[in-house]
Amino acid sequence: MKKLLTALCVLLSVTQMQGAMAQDNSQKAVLITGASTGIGRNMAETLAKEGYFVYAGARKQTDIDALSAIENIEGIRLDVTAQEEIDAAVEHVRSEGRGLYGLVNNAGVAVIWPLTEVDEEDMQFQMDVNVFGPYRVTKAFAPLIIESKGRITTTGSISGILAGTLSGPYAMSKHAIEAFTDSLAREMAKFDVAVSVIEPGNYGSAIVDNLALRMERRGQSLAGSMFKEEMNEMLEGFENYTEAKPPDEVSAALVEFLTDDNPKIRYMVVPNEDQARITIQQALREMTQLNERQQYSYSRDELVAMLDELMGDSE
Amino acid sequence: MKQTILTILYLLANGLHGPALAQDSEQKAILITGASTGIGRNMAETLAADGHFVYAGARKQADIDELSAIENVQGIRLDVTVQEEIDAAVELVRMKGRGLYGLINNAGVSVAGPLIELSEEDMQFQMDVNLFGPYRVTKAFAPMIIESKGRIITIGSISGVLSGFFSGPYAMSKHAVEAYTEALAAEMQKFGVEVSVIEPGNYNSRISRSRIERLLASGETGEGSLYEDEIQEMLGDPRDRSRFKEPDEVSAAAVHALFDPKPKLRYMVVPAEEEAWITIWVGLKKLMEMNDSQPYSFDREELITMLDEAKEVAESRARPPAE
Repeated sequence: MKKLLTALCVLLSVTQMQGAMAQDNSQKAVLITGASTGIGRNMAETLAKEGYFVYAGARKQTDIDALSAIENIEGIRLDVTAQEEIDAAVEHVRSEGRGLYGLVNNAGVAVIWPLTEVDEEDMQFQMDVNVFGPYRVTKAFAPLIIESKGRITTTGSISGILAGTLSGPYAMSKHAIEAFTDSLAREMAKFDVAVSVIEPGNYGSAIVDNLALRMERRGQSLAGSMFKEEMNEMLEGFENYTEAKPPDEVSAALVEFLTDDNPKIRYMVVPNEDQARITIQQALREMTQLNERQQYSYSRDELVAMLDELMGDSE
Repeated sequence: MKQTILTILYLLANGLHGPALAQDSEQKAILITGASTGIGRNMAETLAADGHFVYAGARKQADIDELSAIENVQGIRLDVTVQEEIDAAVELVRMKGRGLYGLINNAGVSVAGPLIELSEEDMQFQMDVNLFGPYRVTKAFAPMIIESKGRIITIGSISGVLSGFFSGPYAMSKHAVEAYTEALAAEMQKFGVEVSVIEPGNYNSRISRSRIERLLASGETGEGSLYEDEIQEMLGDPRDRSRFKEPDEVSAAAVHALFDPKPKLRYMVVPAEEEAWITIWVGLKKLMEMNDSQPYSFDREELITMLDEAKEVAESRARPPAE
């Protein structure tokens, strides 16, 4: 039941290499999952314009066709929850002979529902796409990326740090992506593969439109919820969401990650200072909560000294 | 100094709710998952000795019987990956008529290995126990906890902050538990239910040994892996933690989280200063990485102001933001 309020998956597709156009060997190939709309689409178009060859993952044939119509883009069928589609995508990319320099795990959905009421099916769906998706796709394409000493990034979120009422399932998945990135970065280091996470704030993205739509359809099921008011409040909040900035800055961070000689591991990209402040503040709050009243608590001065040392490191 | 304050806090908690005062009628009932060994067992014994009534979850009959033999402890069959067992546990606890004041999501496993080679089955197992387990059990017992305006605790880990070589799966699950706690705390606030996460460092527990045993049983040798050397090194190091400190301090933190009028949201409990240092250091490092060279990057002074604010919140109450 409740196919939940979720939304936007993303994924890729097959397509029979009708786009066998530019066989330019110097062109670097990048695969982006969830490229049909929002951030993924913006990234695909940006990279294509920059001259990359983009394998753009989507689930629906119409999206795949629309993507393939763009120069330097080949839409491919790729649902990150379907291992056979992932395997087929690897086969396809291999057979194209361009290699693969970049992998962008972007496909994502948002399940926004109280933790004591969310269905297991919905929770599984949240993790299947946002957590198991990047794990599966990365594992499958790792040999190609290692061959090219390439780069892997995942679209995380400031919800990798923030979590609050109703955002539990989504925030859990994005927190997991922070850990995924840190471990993967260490494990890939010996292959000269750079790994990062791009953490967007609230940009114009289909993830929210899809979510709101599904929730409206499920309106009835709110009846028995202990969180009716909070849900309605959130839905109202979504109306402003559609006016959000297009995610050009997110794509710019991706280009930076792909081209920089010394890429960063984290790219927080937010549309305004508020979101940056809330995120950094929350991260500091967590550290002080961990630090406070434990056996080895550090004083304010000691914490400041740590910050200073870290600032020195980053310069 | 800090040690003293901690001790006093815990003594206070014990003094107010300890054995002397815990008569049957006011005995508080607490359910602990994964109570057969390690931290879970230690918490069960500690709380029982303090005079509370403990429902101690375990999977094997031998463990259940052994737990039930302890005064104030009733062993119950509870595999957190099996919904029917969870439902049966709710039934049983309801039938007993003591209500349920505390829930401690402790059951956990640790899967280790390279992310690009780990089987999906292993990854699923990791998440099924550590992430879906607390979600399922909490959802099932939430009505009883809300009735008693009780407390919910999940055993996280310093791996909720740290994530390194081969620890990806485990760290992913424990990072998720941090978000789980933060969101649940915000959602439970209106019911007067307090929510905490306890982040232990490396104490004596079976978790590492179980991990190696599972790997060896599955025939893992490292052969053919891109990480052959690293895997063999891991397999050759049984990480016998039996020389590690007993997790008494973790149980003390649980007592605080259960009974203090102002429980903390997060309890980092580590056996040695290095573990505290690396955790705080890495946490700060990550936020500096986020802050670094983005258009709204905050300078030293602003960061210190934020740190002071954060410290004040943590000192006063350590509550989640009202959202």
